[in-house]
Amino acid sequence: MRRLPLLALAALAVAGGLYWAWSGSDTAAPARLDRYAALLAELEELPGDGFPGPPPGWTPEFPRDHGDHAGSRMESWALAAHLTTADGETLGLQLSFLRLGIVAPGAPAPRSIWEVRELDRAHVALVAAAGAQAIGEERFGRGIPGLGGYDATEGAVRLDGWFLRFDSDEARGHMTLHATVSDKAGIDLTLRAEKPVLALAPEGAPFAGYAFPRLSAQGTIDRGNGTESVTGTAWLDHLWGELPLPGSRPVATDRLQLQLDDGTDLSLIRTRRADGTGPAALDGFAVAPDGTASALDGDSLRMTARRIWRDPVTGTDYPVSWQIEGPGLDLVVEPLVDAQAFDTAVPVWSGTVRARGRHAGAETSGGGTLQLTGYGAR
Amino acid sequence: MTRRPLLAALGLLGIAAIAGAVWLSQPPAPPDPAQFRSPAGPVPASAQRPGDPEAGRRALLNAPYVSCGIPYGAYSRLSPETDPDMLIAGREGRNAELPYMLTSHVNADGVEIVANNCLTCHAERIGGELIVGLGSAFGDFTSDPNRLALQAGTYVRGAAETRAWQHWAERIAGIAPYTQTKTVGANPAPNLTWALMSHLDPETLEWSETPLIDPPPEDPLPISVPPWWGMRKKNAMFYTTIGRGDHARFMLLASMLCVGSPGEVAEIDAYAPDIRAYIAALEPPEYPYPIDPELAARGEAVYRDACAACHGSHGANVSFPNLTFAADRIGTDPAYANAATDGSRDRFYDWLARSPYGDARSAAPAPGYIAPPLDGVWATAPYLHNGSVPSLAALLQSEIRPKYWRFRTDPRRYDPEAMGWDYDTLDHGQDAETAPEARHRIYDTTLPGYGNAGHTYSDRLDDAARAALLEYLKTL
Ligand code: HEC
Ligand code: HEC
Repeated sequence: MRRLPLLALAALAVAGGLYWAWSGSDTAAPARLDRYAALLAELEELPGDGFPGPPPGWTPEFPRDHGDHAGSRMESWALAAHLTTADGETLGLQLSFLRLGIVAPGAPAPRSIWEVRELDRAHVALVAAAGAQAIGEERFGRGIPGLGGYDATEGAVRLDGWFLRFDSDEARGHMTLHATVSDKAGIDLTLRAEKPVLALAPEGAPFAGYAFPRLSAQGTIDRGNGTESVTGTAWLDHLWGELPLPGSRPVATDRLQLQLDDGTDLSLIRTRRADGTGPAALDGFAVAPDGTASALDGDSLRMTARRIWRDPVTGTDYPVSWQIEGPGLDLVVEPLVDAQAFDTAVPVWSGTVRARGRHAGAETSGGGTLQLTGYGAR
Repeated sequence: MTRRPLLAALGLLGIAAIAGAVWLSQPPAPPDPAQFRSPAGPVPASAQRPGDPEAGRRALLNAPYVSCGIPYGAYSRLSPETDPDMLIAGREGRNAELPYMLTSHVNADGVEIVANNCLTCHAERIGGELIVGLGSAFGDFTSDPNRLALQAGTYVRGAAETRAWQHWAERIAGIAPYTQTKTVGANPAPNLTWALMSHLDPETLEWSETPLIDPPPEDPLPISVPPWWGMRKKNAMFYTTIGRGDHARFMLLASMLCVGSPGEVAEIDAYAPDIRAYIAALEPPEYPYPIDPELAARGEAVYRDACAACHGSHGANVSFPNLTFAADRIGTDPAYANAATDGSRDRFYDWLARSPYGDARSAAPAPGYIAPPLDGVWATAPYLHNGSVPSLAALLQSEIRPKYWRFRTDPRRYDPEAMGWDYDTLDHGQDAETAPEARHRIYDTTLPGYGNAGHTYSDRLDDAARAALLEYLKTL
């Protein structure tokens, strides 16, 4: 496999992560910002020592690496699927788990189960093409065995009832998931890798991980009026190590993952200064139908905003529609619905999109996920 | 580092202020081109300020002459461990644990900064040993440096770090369009310097986000970094001998990335003569493989006949003529010499004359290239000012110079026979390669400024004489 640009992966790590962390849905926004700032300050005080991170020369090994990596302070599992119901309705699902080590693994055993050694956070978002806006829910945990975090006997990362389970008996990329969105929906999916796993371990990067850029998804969804079957395509990233903390940094990202009907998967990261000044850098990679990944030439790639949507709640402007141009590539990306913003401590727009256009000389279309960060006034 | 007496700094400041006042009182006149030229031929010596080489080495390896970079916090998150091979002796405090090309200091805001130092381009490893002063043959300037800045920004935290990062990222953004070479190893330093000048007020050294004078062309001409030990013999700095007068001061241009005031320049100028003294005292590394003394002795005779008049002689009667030759006479790629003398860079020479980095006589290039000292020439591949010839064997026989070639980098290996880094000759240039990473590894001598013609002085030798000459060059 060709080495992929570090930046592409660094931004990828962010996107999987902390944006929704620490937000309390019942507090007013300024208070939340303060709380987030305080937590960031606290995190900066946390000693990084004791978390050596991924060893140099790491190569993936399964099922071991589906599980948690206690030697790394941060870890995220992020799954995004675009699905179709039997009636032909398009749905988007995002499910992410985040683990944050507070106490290094080598530290003395906890004095009580109330001593916080790990924080867990999970987030689910569901959007329907016919709906007005995305619905979501997030949960927090404190790494109490049996409730949250990675459970080695189960082979699953979970929080309360939600889980993503890796099947150890089977091919590497076989998993099941279950999630609910408050009392509005319940989802069960079976996922199977359509392409080999991609190791994400750029030389010199302070994190490691892997991606399944294309999984087939099959299952059911219950939105309160009976069970519907769904099928579709998903993408999973699992990263651990020193992942960038969002919100406390001067750069932000626009991150796009697309799965085209011609079998190609694309990952694009546009990194820019959060204050809107200066140049942006574009990085990305493509995964061919046979699973080979290649870096896209950032110099000849363009990602241009086509349309702004203003979040009526926060007043934040998000560029929700984009044009992607590059060698053999010309795609227009539109959101399933505009309202897929999450008014959390660090505001984010994270939603399911559709793409249409040309790739490698032929018409194509596809689905994917777009994450826009750093647009909220801070 | 110990601060030099403030007096010296104030003295310089005074000069700058007076010069500034004189300038302000008259409308800027167009620069007189004759002022910024030297004829081909002998390069006169100029007086140099004395300095202490020991103190110079210490300053080179530890002093914060480049004042902005990545906040250490972000750096350590990105790169928590340093490969022991990247360490160098003689470093103090935090620097002792940083890679040799990075220097740490705490800025006025209390933020620890890690900045690139001179060794980024002026040190290279041969046979496991890091040689200070050897030009870097593998530095990669082919990609957009904004990428690196944004990547580091991903790991920046907190307001003070963010301010420090922004200062650096702003400068990087300013120079980024002018620093991307087409081939890994080709160095863009001169164009980078012009680009900085176009954004800096020459008197106040205040940064302007929009250029104050026309920036240089975007595509930098490729330069092979010369070895520092050549400065033992050279009367002027750089291939075109543009760097006349006080070398120590001219060198400071290489630390200009983040400068913000003449006072800052004065502070560095206080120890710059020490750095110059260290550079001018450097010895070339010895050829580390066996040499056939008889063959070399025969080669010495060949050298005396065919080469010494231009490059000087070695051994018991050391001499160096300090001669430049018009580009069309030597026949090597003329683009760099032409650009230096066709008037297209005069606004930068004028900038230099008005700035604390030099005076009206500082920048005076010849319309060609100096015949450089050949001390330690075994180590300085690739050859010629643009690094277009990968080995000494190929330099001595122009018909075997590869039109398209690529260094072997995995692993890189020094070839003691051909005298240079192992390379592969290719049958295609950059046009035929679409993947950017692969394209940038190809040295394509058909690109403008990348030509490998000329300097055919040993073509007429027979193979035996050439082999003897090659053997002799190992002894220098
Ligand atoms: C970005 C790469 C880069 C950095 C950093 C850099 N240099 Fe250079 N240096 C060059 C190049 C390229 C040349 C040759 C330019 C030419 O001859 O036109 C050069 C030439 C020189 C020369 C003249 C050598 C000769 O034989 O003519 C001296 C002396 C020198 N540099 C000193 C320094 C010092 C001191 C620093 C740090 C303050 C420094 N350089 C930092 C790239 C660099
Ligand atoms: C007429 C003067 C002249 C003669 C004769 C001459 N050279 Fe040169 N040489 C030069 C000049 C000028 C350059 C710089 C050319 C450039 O960089 O484009 C140079 C460059 C070189 C270089 C490249 C140095 C480097 O580090 O890049 C080598 C090696 C060299 N000469 C060796 C020789 C040898 C060996 C001979 C005798 C066969 C010789 N030269 C004869 C003028 C001369």
